[in-house]
Amino acid sequence: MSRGENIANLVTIALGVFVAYHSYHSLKLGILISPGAGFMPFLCGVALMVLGIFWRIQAFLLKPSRHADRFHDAQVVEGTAETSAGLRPRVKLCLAFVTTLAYAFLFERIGFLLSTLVFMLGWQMLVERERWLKSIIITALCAAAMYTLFRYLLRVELPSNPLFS
Amino acid sequence: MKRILVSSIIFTLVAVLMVGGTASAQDKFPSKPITVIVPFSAGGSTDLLARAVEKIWPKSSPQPLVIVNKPGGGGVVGTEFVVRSKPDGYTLFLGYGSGHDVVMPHLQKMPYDPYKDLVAVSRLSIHSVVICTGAKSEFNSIKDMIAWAKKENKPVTSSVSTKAGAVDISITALGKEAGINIVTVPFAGGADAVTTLAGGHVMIGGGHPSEVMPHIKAGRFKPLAVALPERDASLPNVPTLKEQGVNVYTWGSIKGVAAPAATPKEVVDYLDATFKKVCGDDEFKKMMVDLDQPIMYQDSAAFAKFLQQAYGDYGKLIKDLNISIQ
Amino acid sequence: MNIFDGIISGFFIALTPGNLLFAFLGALIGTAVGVLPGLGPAATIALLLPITYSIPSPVPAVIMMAGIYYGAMYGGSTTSILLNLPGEAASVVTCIDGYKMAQKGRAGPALGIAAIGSFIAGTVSVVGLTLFAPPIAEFALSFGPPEKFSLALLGLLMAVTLSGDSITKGLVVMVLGLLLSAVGIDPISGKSRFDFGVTELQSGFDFVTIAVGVFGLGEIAYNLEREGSVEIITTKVGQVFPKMADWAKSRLAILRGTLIGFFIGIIPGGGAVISSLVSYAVEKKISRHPEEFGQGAIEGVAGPESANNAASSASFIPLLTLGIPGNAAIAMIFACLLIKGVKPGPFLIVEHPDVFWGVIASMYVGNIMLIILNLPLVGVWVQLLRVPYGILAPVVILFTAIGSYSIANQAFDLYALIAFGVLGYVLRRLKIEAGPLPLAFILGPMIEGSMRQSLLMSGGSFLIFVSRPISFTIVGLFTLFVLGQVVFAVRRARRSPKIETAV
Repeated sequence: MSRGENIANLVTIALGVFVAYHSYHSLKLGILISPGAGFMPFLCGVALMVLGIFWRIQAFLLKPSRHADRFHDAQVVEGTAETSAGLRPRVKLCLAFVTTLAYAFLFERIGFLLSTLVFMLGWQMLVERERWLKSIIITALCAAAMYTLFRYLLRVELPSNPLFS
Repeated sequence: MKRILVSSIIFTLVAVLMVGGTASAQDKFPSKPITVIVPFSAGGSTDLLARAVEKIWPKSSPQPLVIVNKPGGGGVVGTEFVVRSKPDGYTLFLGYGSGHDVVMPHLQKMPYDPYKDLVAVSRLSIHSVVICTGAKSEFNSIKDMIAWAKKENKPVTSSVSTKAGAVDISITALGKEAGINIVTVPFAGGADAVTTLAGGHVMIGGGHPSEVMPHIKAGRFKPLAVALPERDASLPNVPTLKEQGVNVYTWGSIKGVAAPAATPKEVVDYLDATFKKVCGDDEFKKMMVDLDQPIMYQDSAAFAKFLQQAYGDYGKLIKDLNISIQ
Repeated sequence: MNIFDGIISGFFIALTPGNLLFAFLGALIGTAVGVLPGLGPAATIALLLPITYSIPSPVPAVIMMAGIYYGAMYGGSTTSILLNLPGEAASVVTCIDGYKMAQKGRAGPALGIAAIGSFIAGTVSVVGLTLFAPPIAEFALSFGPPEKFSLALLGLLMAVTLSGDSITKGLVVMVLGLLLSAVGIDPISGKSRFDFGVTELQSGFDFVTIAVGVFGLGEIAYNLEREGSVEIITTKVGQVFPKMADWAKSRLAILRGTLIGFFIGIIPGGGAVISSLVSYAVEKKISRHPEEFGQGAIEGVAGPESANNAASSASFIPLLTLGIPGNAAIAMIFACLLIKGVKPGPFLIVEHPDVFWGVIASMYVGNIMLIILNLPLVGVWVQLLRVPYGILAPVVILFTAIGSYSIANQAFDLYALIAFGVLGYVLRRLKIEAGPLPLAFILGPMIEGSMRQSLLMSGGSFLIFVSRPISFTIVGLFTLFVLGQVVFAVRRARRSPKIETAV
């Protein structure tokens, strides 16, 4: 079992225990004629525990084989190699994550248009390491296009900038 | 130099877009469409009422209504959304007075107070509870059903729209008062419950006139009773429970409009007046007849009082008959 | 009026210039809506409903909305194949093999066969609708809670076939999906579950947020890590149309998918989702090379896509003949009809034959329009993949974020989306197939709700699931399937003990 799988397995079992306990204790299982709110979650919790243990046993019994990874392509770069962009992919992923998180944070606070601008700009400059001029152009175009699409064509209700109104 | 010029032009364009895009909230109410939350699924009786109102509304108001369905929790999810929204009159709740407002608070803890956190705007209609059975059923009246239950000593299964809703309570009360065991099976809304009865999977079912009338006309349902003090106008041939010896009557499911409690009075008054105009409109009257829904307008103050009374009546019914949630 | 008179009159109505325009508009909007994640057909029809009020006759209005409805089905498969973004529940299965095909440069054939399969399925099921509507509708009524439970369980079982190598891990993901569906207010007891005091959780999660987060964002996250090799997707554009060989392989899959979708789609509830699942499982079982499934087997796209289109056409049957809407989008159409004074139900065909036959005829027309719209567009969509990932990825994130936000207008959904993206990324890295998760999420309420309703009806006895004929049949199929799986796995283990047994 790889380290990641190990953690996932333990989380599964722990989650199963928590869910089963919470269902039994707080949500009530009810009687068979009228199962309570906790009935199905309890079964799920138990299932997670059982499956988690089974998973562990399977991994233990498995002889390390070198069969090709049939299900997922073998082109995964493990994120440690340097790339042509000069940025370690793990870092890139983290920056993307932070940028997206910032978008969620800013969305209702500074309004749709501004936060979209910040997001795109941030992405181009931090994640893609583009030159600043190209970033700004891409950002402006994308933001304008999305704004037109959602506000005018689809009439979706989006937060406007509270600082202005 | 050129860079600075180009980038400043682009930023200016964007800034212009930004300013142009903000809607000013200082304009006269209403200055943008009003969202009406229906906390039940599309196609149900409340939803249809809302859409009828939506159609007629633009005749009396510069801004349209936008209906949004938010089903879940028997009506609680959508209502809570309105409770927590901005009290500026642009988010309303249609269906105020339904089971989750007048029945549920007696039986379980609510995440909000339906009377303190909401202000009554207008009453639009009342949907009574009609109890039906399948056409092939051996029951022809409530008496038959009671007799069967007592003889067989088996529970009567009944479909209801939601747990602790108006329909559920009416049927549970019927069971308690008659001394028989009725098991109410809750579904995800009126349409679902009525369909299950149509399939013959339960013995009886409760629903509102607009839900059951099509099936009655198609010959699939036999109406057994209405749970009102007097007969329902749209079903003049159906006797009340009282007439059949069961002293149970309820207000049914009240359908009104509410806004978050802190909404300014002028806004509430404007909305109330407009709803009144809608209820008086001829086209609206015709649509409501087609939908088998009575128009029962009441203004804001009277509606609030009425709700308190209905709430109290339901509370009394629940206490008297010792009804509780399992 | 007998059937043939009806159809002819229907065509006269459907082929008038005005109605043709409405059909086209509907198909166009529907396709666009299907392509955009987050905006489903139900929401779109709801948005456009007020516009239909100004049209005096109900016929054009319904024609347009019907066009939107299955236009969305066509569009949904586009993003599933190109970006691993399911537009709605029924397109999730298409992602599995469709996206793999796109990654191998075969996006064109995937899109093409999806469009062709959808067209055939849609047309055939409309024919079925025309000929067999009333008796089939009555059949649909006989599906009560026990039958729905068994059916949903069957669907869930089929979802296990999506779990690739390890069934254990697939089951874990599935149970996780079931648990996620339990978050929020329980409709039967009214209690709020697993909300931990967070108000926004009381309404539970939305399918779009989960599916798009786990599949779409997870995929983007995974791709970002594979810097450099992402270009592989965009350079090997390859063929734009399906080859003859593709067609030969898919023919029967399409036929089977159509039948499966038609029958299961009639049942109100998870019709389209379950039918796409069953179709996938059937194709995988019947195939002479099942190991290709999950790697880009074209039957894995042809079958489910045909199934979900047949199901969406079939879902009109309960509406037109019984007056019962089977899902949210149809419920909107139902509401529109009622507002216009047309009561869908057994009398519709008598009281408003123009509506009944007009709508049915326009469905034929609509299907043709959609294939004309979509096939040439395949080339266009494939070019979309050529956009540099540095622009494509953030734009996709923006679209999905706005789509998620617009469900309930709360920022919480954005955070939820990101969280599910992380989950999707983790699953991808651990090489666990995420397919069962959103599917279990959709089927969860149906399974739990129907089970509890059934137990209430039977007084606590589980026998109700086997004592009724339809439920018994489904449970029987279920048991046979499971037995078959077990036997198969045991035999495989016996043959080659050194290879990992993944039971």
